[in-house]
Amino acid sequence: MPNTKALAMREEREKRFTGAHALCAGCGTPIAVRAVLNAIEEPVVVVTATGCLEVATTRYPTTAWNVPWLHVAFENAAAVASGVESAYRVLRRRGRISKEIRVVAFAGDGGTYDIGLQALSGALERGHRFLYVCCDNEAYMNTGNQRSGATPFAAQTTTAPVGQESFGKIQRRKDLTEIVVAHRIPYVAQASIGDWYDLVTKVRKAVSQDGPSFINVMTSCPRGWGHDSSQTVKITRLAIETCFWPLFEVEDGRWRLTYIPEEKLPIEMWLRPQKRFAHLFEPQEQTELLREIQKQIDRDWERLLRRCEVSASASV
Amino acid sequence: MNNQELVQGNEACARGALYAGCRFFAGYPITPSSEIMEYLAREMPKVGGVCVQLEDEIASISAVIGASWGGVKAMTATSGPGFSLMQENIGYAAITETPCVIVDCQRWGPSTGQPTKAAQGDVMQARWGTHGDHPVIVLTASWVREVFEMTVLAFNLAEIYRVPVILLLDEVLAHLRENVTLPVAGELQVVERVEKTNGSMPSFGAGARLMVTGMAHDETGFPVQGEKAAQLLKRIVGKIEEHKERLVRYQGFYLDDADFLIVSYGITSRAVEAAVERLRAGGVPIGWLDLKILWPFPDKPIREIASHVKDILVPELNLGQLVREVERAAAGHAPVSHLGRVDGSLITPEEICRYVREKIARVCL
Amino acid sequence: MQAYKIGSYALVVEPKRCKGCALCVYSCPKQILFLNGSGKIAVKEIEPCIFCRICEMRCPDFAIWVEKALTPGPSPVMTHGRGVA
Repeated sequence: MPNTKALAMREEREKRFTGAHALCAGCGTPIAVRAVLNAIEEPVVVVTATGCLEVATTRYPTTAWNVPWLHVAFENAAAVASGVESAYRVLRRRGRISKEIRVVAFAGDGGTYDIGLQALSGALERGHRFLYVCCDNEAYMNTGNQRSGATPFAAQTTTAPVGQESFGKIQRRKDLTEIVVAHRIPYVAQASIGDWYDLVTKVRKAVSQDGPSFINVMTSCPRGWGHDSSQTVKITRLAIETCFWPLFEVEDGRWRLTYIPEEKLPIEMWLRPQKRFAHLFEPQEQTELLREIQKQIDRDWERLLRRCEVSASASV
Repeated sequence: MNNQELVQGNEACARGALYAGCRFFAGYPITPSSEIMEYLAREMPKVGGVCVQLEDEIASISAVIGASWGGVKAMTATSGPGFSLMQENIGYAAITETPCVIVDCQRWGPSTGQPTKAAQGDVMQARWGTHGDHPVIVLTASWVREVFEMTVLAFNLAEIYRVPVILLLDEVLAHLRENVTLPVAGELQVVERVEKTNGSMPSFGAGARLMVTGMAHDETGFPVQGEKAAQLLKRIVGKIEEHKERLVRYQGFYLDDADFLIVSYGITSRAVEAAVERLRAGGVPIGWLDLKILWPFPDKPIREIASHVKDILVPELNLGQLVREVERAAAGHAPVSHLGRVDGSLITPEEICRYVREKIARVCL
Repeated sequence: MQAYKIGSYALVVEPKRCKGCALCVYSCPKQILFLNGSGKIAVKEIEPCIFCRICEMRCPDFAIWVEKALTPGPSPVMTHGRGVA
């Protein structure tokens, strides 16, 4: 698998995604996009859903994309990728194209968990060969931090405000990665910009599959999450170490943890540096809520461990 | 006495909805309408209502229809792309005679276009967006206080006529902050939902057996076809057509001695107001018709005025939408021209003045 | 654009692209980076740099990178354009 230097060299040969885009200082998304595109050797076609990534990388009169790039709407990145991939297959069959080309779709959590879920599910079920990367920053950041299906329990957003009637989002986030696993596609993984090597390894694996693959990448949003822009990577790393965002992959139905924290950190360590969780600590500590959050994470982690154990014992 | 406050257009809309008794809001984030949902997310629980964000615009309008049949006044807000997604269900609301309010803060272009630029490109979509013959009422506003008033009126008309009512705003008005005195309790009329256990719109759980269906149906909700289906369509469209005279709402200025007429609506009316004052001060015999309700369209007044003016101008932020209606209503009595702007900026009073002066010079030659 | 060379490698920073997020400052294992008075990326001292390229790969704005210098020379030197003289 490629190391940092090899990937940087890849970028030197061909810059697929470039700077001078208008994403915020410290945004996690371009880090993910850059890593994903550098990890793929073959020529790529990129499809993006509506979102920060789309509007900020294609501001008049510039573009940050140095590859064929297609944006259609908010809800349909997977459907558009299906079309691109099908057309490519037709052209290959007719001998008009001989190159191996990879189709990559990028979408945010809003465009994947919520409005784009139907299109994603359809494309996965039809079995198109493409990689879908969800840049999950846990809310609708492009429109100003509204809650999404990915927003974690108790996080504050503009449409899940904190007040007398509410402590932020009262629902739990949905486990999209697990929903995708249920489609029984060749490769599903959860990754993070907090573990860069893990991410590129997964991308390599994903694009080598002859069928759909999906990677859910946690990318922090300093503005929405409320942390210093220099902490983008650190925060996502903490999400891994607290087991809020475990790194795992599901290859042909076999679950495998790709990283096991030496010591599982208490969730407080991830929550405390983020202003969207400030109400859990000030004016007084919401011990009940914090206990509840920790309980949820412990349960999910246990479940994931069991799944991976079952897979491991089955493959022996 | 000074109750003035600095209020954003979107906030005025949200506050107007609460004033009108809206107790359910379902929406999906989209620029430039998101602030309506953000405001209601904070304020709705305080009055015992529910503000919920759904997974897309289709779900939002569906939830609004459900809530309306559940017994509360309900609203959603969106912008062009989301409005397009809602269209199927707007037709459903029309055929099931579901009172509901849909706010569309118009932005530039089809698709993503320019989300932070104003436009008036959804005028025809508001009227004809859904499929089949159907009734809708389309309102518009030009000022922040008017946004509040029109939101209240939208709820009233939805309750009276039992139709989906669409309020067309635009990006500039939605984000504009104006110093306004908003109506106090009791100042505006609010039409309440008549709670019944049978007959007209009983809510779910109120004791009646309810059949709500998008299929052709009779007054009891049972499916029909043939002549009965025709009757249904004629009746629901007739609700608006037959009450057109009562529904149309516009304001006329300097119409008595006008040789030239400007017909405008929404944000563009602000520039027209300034232009008309300037032109009148310069001795130009100009008149102005400021439309507040776009549909039903004020055919009769426009035809009457058209018969005694030399020329009609319709400035709007699109490539020609309402101008077609004006042309149809003028019925050849006066030529109708269009002043469109689609670069994302607003039409300025100077532009209108210049256009009118050039036009007059040509017409008078 | 400024290039800092050691041997045949150079660390290049482009303040014009920098948005001052300080991700690289925080990520640098040798702590050789800092934000200057204008909030832009700058190099404190180049000697400890191991050219690991973590700063390069983490920078969301492509404002810092490592290049193979064609002619080794003293640091720092001003360069223009991507190629290091």
